[in-house]
Amino acid sequence: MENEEFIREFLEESEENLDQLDQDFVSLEQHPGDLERLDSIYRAIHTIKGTSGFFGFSKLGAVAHAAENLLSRLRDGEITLTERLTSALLDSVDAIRDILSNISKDGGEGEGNYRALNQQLDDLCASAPLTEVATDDAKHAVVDGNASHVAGSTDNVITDDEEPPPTPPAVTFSQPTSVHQPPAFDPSSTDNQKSVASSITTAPPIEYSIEQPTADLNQPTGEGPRRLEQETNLQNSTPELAHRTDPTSGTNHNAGSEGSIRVDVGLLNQLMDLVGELVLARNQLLQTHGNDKDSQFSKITQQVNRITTELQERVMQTRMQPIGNIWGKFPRLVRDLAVMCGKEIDLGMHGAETEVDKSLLEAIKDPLTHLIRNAIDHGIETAEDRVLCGKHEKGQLHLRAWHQGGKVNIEITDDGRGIDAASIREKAISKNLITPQDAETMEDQQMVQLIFRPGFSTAQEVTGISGRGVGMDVVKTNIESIGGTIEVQSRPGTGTAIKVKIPLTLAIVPALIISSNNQLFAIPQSHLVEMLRLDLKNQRDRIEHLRDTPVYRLRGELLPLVGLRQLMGTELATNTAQLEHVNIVVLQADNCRFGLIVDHVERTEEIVVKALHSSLGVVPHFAGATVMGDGRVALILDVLGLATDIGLTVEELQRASELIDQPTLESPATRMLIFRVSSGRELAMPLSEIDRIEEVPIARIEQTEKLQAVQYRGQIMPLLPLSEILGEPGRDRFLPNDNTTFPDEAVKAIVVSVNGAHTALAVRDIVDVAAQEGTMRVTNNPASLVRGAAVINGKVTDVLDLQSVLHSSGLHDHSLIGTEQ
Amino acid sequence: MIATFPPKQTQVCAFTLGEHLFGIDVRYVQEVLRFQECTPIPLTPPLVKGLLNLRGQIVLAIDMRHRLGLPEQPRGSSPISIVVRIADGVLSFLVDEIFDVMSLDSAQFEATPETLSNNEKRFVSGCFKLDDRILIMLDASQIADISADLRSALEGQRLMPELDVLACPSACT
Repeated sequence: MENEEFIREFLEESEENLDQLDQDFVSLEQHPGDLERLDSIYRAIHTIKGTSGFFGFSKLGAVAHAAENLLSRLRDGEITLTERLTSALLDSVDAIRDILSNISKDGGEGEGNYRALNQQLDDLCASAPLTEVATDDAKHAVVDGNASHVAGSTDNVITDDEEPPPTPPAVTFSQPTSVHQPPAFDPSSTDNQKSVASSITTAPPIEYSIEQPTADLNQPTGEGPRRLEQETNLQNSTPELAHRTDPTSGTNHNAGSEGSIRVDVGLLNQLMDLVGELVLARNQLLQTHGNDKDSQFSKITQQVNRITTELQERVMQTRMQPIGNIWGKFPRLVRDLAVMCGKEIDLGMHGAETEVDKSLLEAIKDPLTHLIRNAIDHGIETAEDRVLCGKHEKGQLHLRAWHQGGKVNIEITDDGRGIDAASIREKAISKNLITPQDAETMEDQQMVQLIFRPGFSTAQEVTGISGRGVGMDVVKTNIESIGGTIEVQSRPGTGTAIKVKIPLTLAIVPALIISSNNQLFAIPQSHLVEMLRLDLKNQRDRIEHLRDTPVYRLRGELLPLVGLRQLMGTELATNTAQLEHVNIVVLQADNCRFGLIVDHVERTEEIVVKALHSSLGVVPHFAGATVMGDGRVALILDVLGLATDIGLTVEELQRASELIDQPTLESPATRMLIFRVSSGRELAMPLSEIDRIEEVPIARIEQTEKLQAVQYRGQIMPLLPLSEILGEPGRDRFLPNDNTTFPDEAVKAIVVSVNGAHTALAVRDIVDVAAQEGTMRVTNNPASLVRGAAVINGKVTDVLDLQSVLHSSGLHDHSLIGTEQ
Repeated sequence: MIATFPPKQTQVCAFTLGEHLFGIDVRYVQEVLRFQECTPIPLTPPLVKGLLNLRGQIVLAIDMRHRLGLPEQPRGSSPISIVVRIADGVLSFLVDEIFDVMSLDSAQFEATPETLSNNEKRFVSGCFKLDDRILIMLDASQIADISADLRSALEGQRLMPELDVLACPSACT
């Protein structure tokens, strides 16, 4: 059939339109005055209707027509959007989606009966206060005659409506005549609709400018500036809008001027492969002729080199897509779940333009969906409960994405009830995930991480949405399988923040190249912790044995060792007795850390990851392969796979280490920064919590009404007076006149980074960095700013609780509420 | 294996392994190359020769002599790589030499002889009677399906330490 090509195109296009529709409807429900969105919806439905008529899809045409009628009246301001209306319209979107999927399956529209839906849409349409008389035109337009209900009953929908639309219809009607419709206009007449639709498409900007002030009142405060930008700068629009205009476009440019075309992903992959070959050829060229005396030739070589690098980057970019492409489904999901759970939820999405490789985007879709479900089902309370807790009745759910340090950070925060560490403790003990002894030494934040253990679910009852106990561990596995990490922070009663970090792309990753048995291997750096070179002649660098497992004491912690030669089957056991030096690569896989003994550490390199033939999937040790600069192939080690292979060894080690009465073996040593606050008190905090240490000249400290701050990397960085927060005397609040009194003095600041925003703690000086000895005695006082006490450098030192400090500093708890700047 | 009767004319890529003449359907064949250096894959049985770099694409090479249970090629001789495209990816079959690409008539075709062992029958789809010799037609997709062989080799490897003495090389194939 010659139409097939067109139908396929129609299906593809409609698929994208439908996803956008879900989003638009939900947004429209929140901002009923948003004429721009309404128009976009109207156009999408209208296109589907028109095309379905062309191909003779009568059911599709009927549903689209009924929806269009309703939309037309909405747009004219004759009726207002209610939850019931939105639901009906969303139902029609679902119906359209069903029919389309049937068409794509077998070319037919399927068995579905949409008369009831059409009738409902028609009834809603007819129930407007300004009663219209349906004309015969409508019946002609609808193929199966469903439109006979158009002139149905006039039961009043408007009275159900608690909130009248913030935009008085008068504003809408004071539009230029091309858009204006007289109130007596018959919305069912298709001919008229077409002319109206076309006149609207040609003159939209006028509407925005008039609509803007009223619509803006409805925006959540955080979105204000972005929205303004969107409306005022349509051509060079924000990605959010670009995404709406052309969801397939991977770049931020609006389709308007340059245009975009659809490209098959397979073709892009081939391009990527070809560029890979070009890069290899380039490398060989550089290796053979890089030092050539012929200046003309080396000039050309350099030219080829430069162009190849740029080409590689550009081709990589074509695979990058804004994360908003998968977030697009979430507003609808959140709305439906919220309605189902009887909760009220505001969804905020920030950084939708953040770009991620397409394959990764696919991989995080399900985990993110799961996390959102969890947040709605378990996190956010019902409106009544929220009011009782003194919170706003609408729950806040925020998605954020941003690039940082070559990774994509995604954060899902809610202001719900948080995760109750106590109930996790109970549950974990009852499920034998931890022993009661473990539980005593664990801090709340550690406890919360237990939700990622397999077989864990704290929901009191299993609901239809989530809580089957197979959630978070699967999410974690999925995220980790693409080289990402996930962590959760929660404060009971305040909310939960889940942070996901994933690499920008899987196609090119930084890797450590090592060799074993004269063969090169690549290890992705995401799993690399550190590298050690032991001088075995030195008494300090000793490899010991627990049973048969070689171990090394790394800062008091027993690190199990395994030789790569042994794992690769070229040696039966790892024997280091004969060696003078041992190269150990410390790797982190899941919860287990181990040292891999390799022959040589060669270099680090950005490698292009290639998949192995599917039959090699049965060998878990390899994650793929890559081509080195000299054209040789190197295997990429799968660290998780290696860990499973040596799993027995690690378990054995744990059992063995329990036999040894040495408390330091049980808890991994934490590196602590010891510092003195201005009152003179010594405190410690884990190095892992610290971004860096800065010296801030007092002259640069600025004072606002509530806080003192410095400008730091283009951001406002609050400088917290730590001793004051701890309730101790000391000078760490600097008044404006200090600037002149101590112009040359500087104050030491510990910079921590929460949620991408920096905060500094003012301290007097830094004492030392040392490992924590033994376990920490945890204080159980939630009001305390000290997490507990530990032996560090032979002294008992208090360990600062960063979260509590931030919380009590008067600033919001950044990690939970987020920073709306 | 039930031999589907081939169409009237079959295009066959014929190659030799020792004195034997084999063929695969030419539709699978992407290209034929001289052997190049191969990166061995640890933990895999000898039938997996390693990974080839085919213009930036990484291709798994299968040693056909090992696959068909024939003795190893004498040292110093370099095999030929037949790059084949089969449903789940591109592979390289390493053979001694390319014999010819021939168009063979179905009248010359005969189903797999019953006398072959099960293992041989798994790979052989039949044979063509040429004037002076027999060409054994191979089922390329069966040859490419090496997951089971890899799995058993891997298990053999894991058991090795305990079974030192018992492990005999032939048990792996």
